[in-house]
Amino acid sequence: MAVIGQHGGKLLAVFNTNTYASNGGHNGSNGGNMEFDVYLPTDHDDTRIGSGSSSADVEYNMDVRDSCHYIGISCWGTYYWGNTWKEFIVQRWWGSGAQQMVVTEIRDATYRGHSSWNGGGSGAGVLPDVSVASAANASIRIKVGGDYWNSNNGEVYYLGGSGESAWIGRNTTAHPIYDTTMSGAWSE
Amino acid sequence: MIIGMDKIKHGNKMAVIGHGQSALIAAFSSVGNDSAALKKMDFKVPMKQTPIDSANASKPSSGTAYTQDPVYLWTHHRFEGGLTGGCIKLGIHATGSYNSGQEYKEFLWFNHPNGGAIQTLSTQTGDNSSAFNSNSNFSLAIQDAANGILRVTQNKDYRTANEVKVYYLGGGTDVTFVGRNSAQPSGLGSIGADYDDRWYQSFWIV
Repeated sequence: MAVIGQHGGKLLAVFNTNTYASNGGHNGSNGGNMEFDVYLPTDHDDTRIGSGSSSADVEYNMDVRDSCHYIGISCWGTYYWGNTWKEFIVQRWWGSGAQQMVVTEIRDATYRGHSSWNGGGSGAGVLPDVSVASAANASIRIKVGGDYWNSNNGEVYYLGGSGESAWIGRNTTAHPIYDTTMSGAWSE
Repeated sequence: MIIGMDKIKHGNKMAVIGHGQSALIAAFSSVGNDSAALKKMDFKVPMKQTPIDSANASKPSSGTAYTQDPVYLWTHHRFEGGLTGGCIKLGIHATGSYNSGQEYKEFLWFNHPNGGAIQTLSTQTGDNSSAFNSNSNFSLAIQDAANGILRVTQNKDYRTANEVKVYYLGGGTDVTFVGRNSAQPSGLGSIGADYDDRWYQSFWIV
């Protein structure tokens, strides 16, 4: 897995429905929305420093299959034009012998340059929407739209969470020594 | 709980979070403001700022459905003709040291070829004296959309006591593409160069 996001944005996906159409895909005959899947950067085991060598370590027996991901999606249309931004939390954990995953929308904002953008009205609109594609494979399904079928654009950002990340304050072989330390011991 | 910082060892020298630098875009202090006018600051967001990124140089120009390539599309979104658009999320911390107080707002800039807009996502106010919070002049506006310049106004405290810090929180900026192998450290304005097919997106009709 790539090391995600250094100083700039962290893109998970980029879409443009007209480009998709011109490549032989969506022609609008089956509705105006599109879907695609995105894998979450879950294999943070690549860079973590270990699960603790003794039961006294706070990481001992920690289940690395549990993770949380903060996603931002930017959509804009150029015909019934406008912009929508939504933020989602994707929680993934191990339970009942399988990976479990749930998606929750936590924030949204919409600007309607045209009154019909994203369903019209005064709310944020139903799109973009995120659902679980595969809990086992850590993929989410993103539905985009809001404008005429060939006029939708957008980007999917990783805003934060468990995705492979440096452990701030810990020294690893893959990351530099930061100017802080994180104790491995419990405190009261 | 786990102790995150060793202040005994390092004092107030906070670690640099996230591979080299925190995401502070702009800051101002109104100390020395000798007029009664609102203190304002124009700043460029790290978006639409060619050529600080290397995406244009690395985008594909051939191959099957190369126009669906994320790098191709992203450069399309940022720099090419009537499709330029996107969204950047900023956190702005406004503080005052006279009628002391602080307020934090999260803003979105919706960039759009037809104009765009600023939206406020949230506001948190804390530790304020009533005098600090009595003035509501803390806002963000589009100053020059074509060049990615926004204007922050902050006059919640006495005219020489206001400060502002603007943080990048996410969205449309120079990017690292998640799922691409980045052989070299990637600073603001660079991207990982190689694909990692495990994470490549695909599309289909709903």
